[in-house]
Amino acid sequence: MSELETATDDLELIRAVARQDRQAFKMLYDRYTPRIGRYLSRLLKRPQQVDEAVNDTMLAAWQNAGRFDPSQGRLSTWLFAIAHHKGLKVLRQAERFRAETSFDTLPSVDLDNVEEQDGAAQVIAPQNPERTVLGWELGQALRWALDRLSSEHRAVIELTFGEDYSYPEIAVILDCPLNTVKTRVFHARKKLAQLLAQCGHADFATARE
Amino acid sequence: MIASTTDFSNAHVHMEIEELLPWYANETLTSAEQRAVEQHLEQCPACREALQECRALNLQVHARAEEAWQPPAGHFDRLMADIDRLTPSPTPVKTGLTLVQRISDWLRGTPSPVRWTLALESLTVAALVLVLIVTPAPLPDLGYETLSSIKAPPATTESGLQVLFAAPMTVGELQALLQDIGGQIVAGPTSLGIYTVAVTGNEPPVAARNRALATLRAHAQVRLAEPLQPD
Ligand SMILES: [Zn+2]
Repeated sequence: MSELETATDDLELIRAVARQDRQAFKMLYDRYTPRIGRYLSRLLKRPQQVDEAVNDTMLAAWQNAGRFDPSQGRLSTWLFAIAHHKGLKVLRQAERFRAETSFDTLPSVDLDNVEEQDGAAQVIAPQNPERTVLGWELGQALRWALDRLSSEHRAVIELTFGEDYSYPEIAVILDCPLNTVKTRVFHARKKLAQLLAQCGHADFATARE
Repeated sequence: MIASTTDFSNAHVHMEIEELLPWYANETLTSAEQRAVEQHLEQCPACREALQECRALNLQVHARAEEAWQPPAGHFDRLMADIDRLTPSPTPVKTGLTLVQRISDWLRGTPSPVRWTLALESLTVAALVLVLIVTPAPLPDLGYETLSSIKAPPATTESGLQVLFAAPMTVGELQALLQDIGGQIVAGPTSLGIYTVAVTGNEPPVAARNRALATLRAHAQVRLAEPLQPD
């Protein structure tokens, strides 16, 4: 389906939802929750929190469908903005709960985990520096490193590299200025490179010999 | 070797371009930005390397993103149950007061609107919508009507009003306003907060509507008051 077709279709769909058409709502749910849930699971980690945040997101979409304005952007951006907001809310609640029950201390790098992941992520550096990066088999190391980013950094990395949003769209989703998005992604990239270097992927941080 | 940015007269330009690289990699820049990046890439090895990193990240995060979320069993049904809970099915309405009670319940039960930067204006505005149906007395039985089911206003409705409030009103304020216009809520709310209000009076419907319209438009919290049916 072309982008334009999706846009037209999306508009019809959300307008039907605004008229409280439940069948249309189910279609909206089927179309967008796989992506929304995936994004929220990057943000939140715990499956139960993800289910809850997806539920909150779709409930808000139902309640606010009449407010969607196609001249302000794509439906997916609108939904992601809701999802991000709901995700942060769940995250804050979880943090408050943790603070109250003091199960947990501040996140720290787990050294055992580093070693374990290190072994799994060991790569033989190829000769060609471009291939070092492009052909990089780092699934596990990346997962490890992403998990250690702050949720702010993780969010922008996922939205930029995982969901292919433009930076103005990310500004809408995060409800922050354009420059904040740019510098946040910049710092998130640097942090990620640092973490990867820490677990043996110096080639990503430098990759420049 | 790590390329030095001091090779370039303008380190600021380098910084600006490097910040754009993630979106050059995901191909979402405007064509003007894209040209500026390409121009800079030609003369900046550091940015060329950073671009490779971004492309690698794009590839890798995408590969990871293959695992789409699957709703757990019953997730959609639970969602619909939540919706039903928050969207009371239309019930026959006895008195205005009960409905005012229902508004207050609805105001309490409705989560504050999600922020949507670009649509912020419309968000702060669209708080509560009343559809006024102006009818001559006595009141018709509109008990089962909700806005969504009123495709065309009931036959008894010569005229109606659509009202948009600037912010959620307190129950007291709403009650006072309803009294002012001689209106009574007869149905709703839908999940969008839409109520159907009937105005009763001995005057002709259009006159009653215009009187209500004038009162509403003069009210500080009313952002929009329009006839449901144009004259
Ligand atoms: Zn540069």
